[in-house]
Amino acid sequence: MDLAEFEKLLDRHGADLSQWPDSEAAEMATQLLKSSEDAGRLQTAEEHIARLLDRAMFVPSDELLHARILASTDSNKAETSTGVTSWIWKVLQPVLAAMPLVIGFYVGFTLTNETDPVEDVVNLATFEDHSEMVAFANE
Amino acid sequence: MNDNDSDEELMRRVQSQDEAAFAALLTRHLGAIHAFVYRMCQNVEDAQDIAQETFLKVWSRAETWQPGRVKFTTWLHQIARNLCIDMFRKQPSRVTAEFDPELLGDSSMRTDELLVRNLQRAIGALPERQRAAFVLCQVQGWSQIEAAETLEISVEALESLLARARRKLRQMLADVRIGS
Repeated sequence: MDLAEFEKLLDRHGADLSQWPDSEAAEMATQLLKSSEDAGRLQTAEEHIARLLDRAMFVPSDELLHARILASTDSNKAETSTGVTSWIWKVLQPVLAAMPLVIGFYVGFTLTNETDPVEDVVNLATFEDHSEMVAFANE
Repeated sequence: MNDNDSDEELMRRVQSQDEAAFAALLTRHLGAIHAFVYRMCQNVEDAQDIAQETFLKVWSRAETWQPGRVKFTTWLHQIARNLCIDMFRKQPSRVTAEFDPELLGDSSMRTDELLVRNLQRAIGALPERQRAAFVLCQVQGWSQIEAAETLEISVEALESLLARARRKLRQMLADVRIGS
């Protein structure tokens, strides 16, 4: 293994040779490190970065985030529920507004077409002469 | 609710709007997601908001998760990463942190502090894909296979991203040493 090959594998797999997927390459790298100062410098730099990462990538803890997320899912559910209710209300509003009109039409239409059988008999009885009734109807 | 319940089992219950299962998943994964997001965006408020949004999506879009297709943690990190990308697109100025030569002139800063500060900035300045690969593999210790699955790329492509990221960071380290 030469320095270029070592650097290429170091870039891909990091400074910890035990983590390299190819154990044979790791063994060759170990041999190279015994003889090459440049390879040693590259590995030292990579190890230094790995050590600094603990501090550079430190994550501040956030104790309240868990509760905040649970609370937000609750409010999200409430919003969803309110959203469904308001959607139903939006659909119902025009229907409800049109109801008196529809009922009025229905009642009016039903009443004008309905004939009371008793009233019919009374009407017929009023006209003794059938021809008189026809004439009246034709007026 | 059993602590040993698998993520997949809990997720099936979340799909039936089981709040206890959701709380269990949240407890189990919030730390990792918050850490990943914070390391990606390097901003406390953004990390909180994105972590919150990630879990809200888990709750509200639970039915889109398909058991057996990807691991729950992979899916969760994919959601978080996509939210990070959305934020970077909306606010590109958030991710313009770069190696700062000005810091080299600050004699009150120890070399180690200088390196840490510049390493943070250098990681923040990596292109998003390189940063995500580096954070998952080098910082959070994921295997390359898991990370590649999360980023939806091949292992070879992931190795290439890692190689470019490591080279840039090593160069930064050398620059700081020369400067100081």
